Amino acid sequence: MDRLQAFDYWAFQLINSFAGRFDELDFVLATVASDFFIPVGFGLILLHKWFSGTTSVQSIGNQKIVLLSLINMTLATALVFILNQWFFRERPFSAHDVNLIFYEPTDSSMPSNFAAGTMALALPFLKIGLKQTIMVIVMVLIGSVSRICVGIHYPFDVLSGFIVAILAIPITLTIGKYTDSVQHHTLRIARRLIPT
Amino acid sequence: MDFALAYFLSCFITCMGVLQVASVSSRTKYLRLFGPPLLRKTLGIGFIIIALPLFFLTGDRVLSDHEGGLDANQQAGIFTFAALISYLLTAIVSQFVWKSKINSSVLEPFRSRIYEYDSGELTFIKLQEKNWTDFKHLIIGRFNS
Repeated sequence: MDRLQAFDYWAFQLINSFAGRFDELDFVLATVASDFFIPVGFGLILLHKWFSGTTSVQSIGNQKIVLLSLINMTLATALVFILNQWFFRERPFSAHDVNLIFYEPTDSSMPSNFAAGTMALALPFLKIGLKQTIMVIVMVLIGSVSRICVGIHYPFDVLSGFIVAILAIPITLTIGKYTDSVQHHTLRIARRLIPT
Repeated sequence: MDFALAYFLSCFITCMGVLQVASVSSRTKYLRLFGPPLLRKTLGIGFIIIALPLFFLTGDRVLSDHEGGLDANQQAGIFTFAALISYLLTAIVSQFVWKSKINSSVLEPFRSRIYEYDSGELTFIKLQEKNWTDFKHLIIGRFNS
């Protein structure tokens, strides 16, 4: 366990060493790591997905992916919330001397809520195709690594966030399977108001 | 500018941009604000690119919710509201600028006992009027039965 923690801290120091060197780089890192850049990017991708689709079948398929993504994100962040009730890990800046270029969050460092939420949004894209999934997963990786760079997460926090998102997938798919008729009716009402 | 307002405006502009990019698809022609598809795509991407500096370069945006930022629920709520407003504005403006109709194949799944329409005659506002009428009939029908 100690060796794992030592490796985690070593990897953190390596990634965090990029921060605090150049103001421009710090600005980019803090912007990408912010609570707005990647989450809004995902919101826009889901919005585009909702309206894209050349056939009726493709459109319905895309909208179901949007629903699954939102369910999976809700589940993953709920799992993080439950885990945080009995497990708390201090943030890197609380325990060590780090290059901090971000505000100081007060919640548990592990598992990363950001990593779990964004990865949970990205994983249902596997149902559409590998190319789009790779694109969104690269976005998640950039966002998550930048949060290590700015000094608010250890690499294992991010990794455990990804694991939580992956663990949420079977639950999401089960919910998706048993709520198919509810999804169908919801989409039917939604398409009546917002034709696609 | 207030943090929440700046966030709303940037979300609104980016959503407008995304809708223009999405309107290239034949199924969402009623969302087009400009003529040629290439122009719509270019301007849509332009909207997205403009909105980013509008938010991130006009103040300190790396703030926690305790220091004047927004928490996750507020962010989600404002984004959803901005997306809805941008959708409504795009659909209504497009209807008046282009007299755009909703493709009848898009409405095909709604053909039902209570929902009759003349294909090619339905604009966005007409569809919402029809939805409201159908909703009223449905509710009254439930009480009468």
